[in-house]
Amino acid sequence: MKVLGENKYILEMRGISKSFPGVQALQKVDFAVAPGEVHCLIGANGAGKSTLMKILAGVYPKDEGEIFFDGQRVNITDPISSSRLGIAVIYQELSLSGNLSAAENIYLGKYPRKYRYLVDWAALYNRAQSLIDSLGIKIDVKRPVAELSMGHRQIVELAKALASNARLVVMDEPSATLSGEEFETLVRVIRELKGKGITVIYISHRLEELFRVGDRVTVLRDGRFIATKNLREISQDQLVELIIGHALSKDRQERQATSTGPELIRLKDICTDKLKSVSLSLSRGEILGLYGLVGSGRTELLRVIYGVDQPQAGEMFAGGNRVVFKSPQDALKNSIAMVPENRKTQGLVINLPIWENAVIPSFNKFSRLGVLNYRSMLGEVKEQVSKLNIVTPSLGTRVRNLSGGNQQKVVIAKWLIKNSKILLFDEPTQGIDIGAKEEIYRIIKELAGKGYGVIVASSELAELEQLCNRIVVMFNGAIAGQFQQGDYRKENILRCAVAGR
Amino acid sequence: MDGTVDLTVEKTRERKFNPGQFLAKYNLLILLIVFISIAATLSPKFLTVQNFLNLLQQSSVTGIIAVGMTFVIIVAGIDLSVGSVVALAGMVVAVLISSGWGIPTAIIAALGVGAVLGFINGYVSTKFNMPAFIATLAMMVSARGLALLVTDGKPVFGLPEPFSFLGAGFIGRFPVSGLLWIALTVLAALVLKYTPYGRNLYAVGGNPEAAHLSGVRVHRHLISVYVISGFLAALAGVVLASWLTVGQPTAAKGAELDAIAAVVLGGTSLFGGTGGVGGTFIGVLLMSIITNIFNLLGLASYYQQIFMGVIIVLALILNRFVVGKNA
Repeated sequence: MKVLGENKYILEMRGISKSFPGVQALQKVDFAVAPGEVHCLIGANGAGKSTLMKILAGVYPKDEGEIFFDGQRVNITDPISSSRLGIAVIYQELSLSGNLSAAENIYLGKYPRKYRYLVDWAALYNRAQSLIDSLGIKIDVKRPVAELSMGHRQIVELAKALASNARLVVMDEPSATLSGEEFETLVRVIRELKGKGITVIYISHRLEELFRVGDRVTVLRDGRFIATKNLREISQDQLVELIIGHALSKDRQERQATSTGPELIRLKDICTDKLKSVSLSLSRGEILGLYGLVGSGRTELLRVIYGVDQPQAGEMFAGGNRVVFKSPQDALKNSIAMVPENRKTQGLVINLPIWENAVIPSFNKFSRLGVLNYRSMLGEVKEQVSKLNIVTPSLGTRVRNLSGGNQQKVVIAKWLIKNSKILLFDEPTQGIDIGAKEEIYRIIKELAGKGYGVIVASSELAELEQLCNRIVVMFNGAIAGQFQQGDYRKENILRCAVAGR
Repeated sequence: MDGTVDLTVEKTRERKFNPGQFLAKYNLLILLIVFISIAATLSPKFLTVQNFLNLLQQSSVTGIIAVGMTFVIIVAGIDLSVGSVVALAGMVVAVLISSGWGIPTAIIAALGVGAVLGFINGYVSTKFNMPAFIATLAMMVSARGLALLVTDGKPVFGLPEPFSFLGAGFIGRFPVSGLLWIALTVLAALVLKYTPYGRNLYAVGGNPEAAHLSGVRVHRHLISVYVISGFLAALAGVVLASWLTVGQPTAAKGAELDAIAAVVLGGTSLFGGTGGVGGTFIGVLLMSIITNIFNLLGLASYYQQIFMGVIIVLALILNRFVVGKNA
């Protein structure tokens, strides 16, 4: 056993590597956290923050590297071994049971008992209440969690971590769902936690926040460790430089969109809960990129254009005419189609075969007097399958048995058969291997060449740089900048996405 | 049989004989053959045309209900109200005929009642986002109450002879009700396979969100299957009343469970998105044959019920087990 005096860090992760098929997510990352500090972890999308924390939580096994907790080398194999060490991870989607009271959630699985088999409700409520009170927050622990605000739910989640004697709490983007006031409460609670000697790892995209809550910050970029800095000794601009890996250039060039073809769709001052006065236009033959950090409003914008969500204010025009989309059917009537973010739950009916998935929106096209013409339907599916080079034993293969790339191509085939002219892609290559990615890119470019209008929302900047004629950067629900092809300076785009300017 | 087109699915794999897959695909047919063989050895009378025609007639009421139930279960729904709708429709047609209505108009009125109640089921469960289990359970209770209310709980006797044609009549040697059941099954199979509507049901049942994002009007499709189910339950009610020549407000108690069991036995998943009326047809037949066997053996119906439950569970476990092993 090591001597405790040397024990400068409560947690030390050394040389951690992790790869997924086609991606090196982490490469020999070092990460050390001192006891009792609030240590921030930051990096752009895909920098490896979440992967690193999932390794710590025991969700993913690491490929190589060592983890020391409290000076001892530890072997974290699963979430249980991680929580036994006293590590609690609070994910963005909280793991609370809405119908149970706050107190029950806090002591879930370890209710105080009396007479051995009965829950000691008085003790349960008392202990939970004093735990919450000790954080300086007023929450009635008898109330069901579903009735609490998002901010209070987060506090309950923290109390749950305390009740399990956690010594290190990881918070993944805790502020994403909080209002400004709730965030202030969270800051107070984090200080209380520090006072109790609990160490906090705080992950967030929002820079200002880090300076308010954090002591030190570790920056990751492209799966590598970049630096650990004391937040009192660094400026926000310096931090941005570390995140994007370039010096900030002063000249921000931003030209007006010079579109070539006629306009297909135009948005004017679209507002929703998440979107703030977004204006945008798309031309024939154009590939427009939507970049932004997670939660910046990319997906929300696509959903509005496709009629899934309805804007609270603003106008939309398709082919020059004002349109109001109440549902995707309305968007489809205007030849707009969406390839959603999650193929398996939104894009496909995975238990149905390829041919059927490819024609779901087009049944009417293939029926005469209400009777389906299987011959022409299957003929067209077959044509698209070979055009898009979908690799499959037969058209009758269930799409669940296809690779991610081939599944995505089935979704694309679906819209080509429907004769859509405007395609909205949300993270088109997520979870797809590199070879198939290139094919998807080729397909998108070919479609644009034929006059389709394409919008691609992605959190991979390299993807957009390769594909798009124009990149629009979103920050916090609004458009923070536009960049024309030939003017893609990575540092400018990243700064726009990270800092909103 | 499963409603999807067999487009030489994984030809290469099927060329090599895979007993597991064979069992999974044809387990229902195998069960059917096994039970027919058992019945045939028990009694020489079983394997006669006459017995099969009887079987067809006996199964037709449950069979017609099960056709509608198949539609509902394909979209991952459930309809518990069908038994009560059978009774109510039987009462409506009986009361109307005895009060002087023409037979066709009385039948149409009864079918209309079924369709309207089905619409209410569908509307309540989709528009108010209520589990179909609850919405149709409520309808089951209320429709039964209505059926009893019509005549204060008394059966209606003395229906005219021509009315019994539908339930007890024959065309040649063939029972009309059995033919009706077969015709409906064929029609439903064609609708499920050859119409955009039918294909959309599989998409809605398999993944409502993906279907919605593909421009399918999910709510309309969900409501429509309850209308179909209510309509066919009412038709079954008319057939039953015609067969017994009596309107009986307590008729068809538990019929919903028989229908659900037959559909599930027939390979339609309660999770939706797969299955079809062909399997349901065999499922209904299988259940009748098992009943038949127990009658031949002269065993009390209590044994029958125990055995039926065991068979349903075993068939599904077998299916799960074999499919899971091959997945």
